Amino acid sequence: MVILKIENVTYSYKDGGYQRVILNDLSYEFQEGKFYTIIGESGSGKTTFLSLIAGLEKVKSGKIYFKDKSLDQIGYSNYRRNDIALVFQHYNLINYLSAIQNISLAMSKTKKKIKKQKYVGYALLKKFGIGKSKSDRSVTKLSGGEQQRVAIARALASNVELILADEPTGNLDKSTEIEIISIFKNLALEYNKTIIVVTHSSDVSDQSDIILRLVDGKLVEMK
Amino acid sequence: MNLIKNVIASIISKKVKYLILLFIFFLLGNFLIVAIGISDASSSAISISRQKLNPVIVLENNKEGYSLDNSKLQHIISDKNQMLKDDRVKVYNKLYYMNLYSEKTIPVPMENDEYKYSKSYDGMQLVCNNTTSMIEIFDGTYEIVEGRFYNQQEIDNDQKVILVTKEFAQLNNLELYDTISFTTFADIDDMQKYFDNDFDGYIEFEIIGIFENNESTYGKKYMDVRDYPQNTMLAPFSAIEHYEDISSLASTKMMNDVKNLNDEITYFAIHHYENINPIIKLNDPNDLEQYVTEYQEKLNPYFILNSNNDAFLKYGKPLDIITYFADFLLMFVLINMVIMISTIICIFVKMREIEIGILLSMGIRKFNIILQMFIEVIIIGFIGISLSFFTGKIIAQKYGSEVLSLSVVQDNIVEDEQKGIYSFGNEKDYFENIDQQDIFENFQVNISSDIIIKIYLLSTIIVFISSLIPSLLIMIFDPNKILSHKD
Repeated sequence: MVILKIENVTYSYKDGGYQRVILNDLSYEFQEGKFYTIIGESGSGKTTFLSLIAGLEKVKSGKIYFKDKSLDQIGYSNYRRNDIALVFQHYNLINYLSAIQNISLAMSKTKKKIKKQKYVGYALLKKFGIGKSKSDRSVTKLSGGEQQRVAIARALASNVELILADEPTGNLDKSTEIEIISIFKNLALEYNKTIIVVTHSSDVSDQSDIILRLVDGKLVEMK
Repeated sequence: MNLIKNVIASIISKKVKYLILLFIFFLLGNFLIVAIGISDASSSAISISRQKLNPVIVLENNKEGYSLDNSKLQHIISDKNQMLKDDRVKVYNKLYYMNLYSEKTIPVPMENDEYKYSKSYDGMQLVCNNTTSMIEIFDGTYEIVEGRFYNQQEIDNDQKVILVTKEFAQLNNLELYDTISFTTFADIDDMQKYFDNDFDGYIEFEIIGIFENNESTYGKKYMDVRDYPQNTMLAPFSAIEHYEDISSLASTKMMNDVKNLNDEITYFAIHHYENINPIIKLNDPNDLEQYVTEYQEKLNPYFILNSNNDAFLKYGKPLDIITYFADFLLMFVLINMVIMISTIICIFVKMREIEIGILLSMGIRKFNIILQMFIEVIIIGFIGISLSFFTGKIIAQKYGSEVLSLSVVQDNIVEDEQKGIYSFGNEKDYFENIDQQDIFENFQVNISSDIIIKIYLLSTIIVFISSLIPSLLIMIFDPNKILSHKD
């Protein structure tokens, strides 16, 4: 089942006097429950593409549909709030909140009512290897790997079907990278989540179900 | 619940920044309390000073006015009656004075007899009014200690009821419901021959009330015994109207006989109670100026409405000056609070750009982000303002008094001759004096619950206004730009 449909999306910007095309009439359909990785050269438009499908930026030409509804119809803010979750290279946790408070924040933002938020939050963090004592700590006191696990737990906490990640392992060592990738893999497998990860790392892309390469503004399936 | 937890966590994590904001709120809070405290103390002092001057309106005839256009007089009389029915009027006096003598009772002797003006005025003074209360009852000058004041039924039925002073009653062994006879003639024996058959020159009253007269005798050095406050008696005008008519007739006869004038003196009845000018007390002394202005316009040029306003304006001037000072300070503080707090919040927002970008990327509503920021500032603001209550009150009292002393006029004693201007005929002077000491005593800075509520309300409004520009800043934040810039 198609969860995210990209239809003839073109994105360009002016670079000096020259119109630089990043995405060129790009179309693609992302299936539910799959783990995708997007690879490509630096400046190929991977992050721009992720921003567009994350609803952080509006498409100027073409359409993006989430479950048959265009993002314009859903509303970009609503889409980000209720339908997707983002994981960043720099974790982007709210640094003055504890791990559990970051999770609660994600739970409380969606229109889906989550009961016993704190209990669910602790359980979720425990699943990602963050015990109760660490859960109550400020996130700034956690290691990079732990922070990224909290960020993934936060993504999962909002109970969305589509998780987008931009270089989620970029700041992590090798062993932690493997750990995080296996988490993503399991999310797709066990929870039927669709995972789209933008990465430079071949170790990450090798673990995904589908590898997409961004070439000349178009997505090409490599695997 | 999460919002409050996030607010607290945010404040704790930004201790230094919020301590700076707290200090600024504390500082500005002091100015705010000084301004509001002084303004309130000054308003209250104006009100008390107005009360001390006795906020009544005395209607006086303008002799010059009567020589003008008399065709308007009917209108004027209607307006004159209308002014008494005005909703702002609490009570009014239309007083008629009558001298009383009695063979069976004696007047209360004056404390210091040496200043007694004349032995022939050793009587009592009956103060007649045709309303069911008097200004003096409301302001506590006359305090009924036994019995009651006369009612409308007694006024309508011309019932001869009277109230006497406690001292007079004690001196003459009088009690409630005793009857007492008086005459208005000092030498009644000489007048007998001018009386009609059924008139003996006496009028009999029933005592329905005993009162204490707290009227001050200060400044009344050469006073008659009858003018001594303890010799005042109160009765409805209707009770003595007929008696006064007959007495006047007898007096007219006597004068024509004794003086042997060529032109006979015409009998003059007193049917002129309606023409007695009223003394009016309003429900709210603050309405005084407006009421006077309104009716003065209507009653021009026949009557003058005297409210002792010149004296009030003169002695209220320092308070006016300090009120202007406080109002100016308030405006200055409010404008500066908005500018400073707005700037600080803008800086905070800019410093929290990434946090806001993250929240926006999560789809958190901009309204919720603004609300959290607003609550954070309000909490800090309330703590800062609350701390400033203690110091603000002290500063307000100290500097308020100093500013007040600088603006006090030097000649602050009401001249005795000025008092004469305000006196009503040969009777009572309704206006009191105030001096510099009164003004100082009345100026007290009190941080009442009303002021506290006002300050918290103002602070909330200031924080709200100060949040508008930072809110606009948040509204135009683009999470994509913020986060891509960060990466």
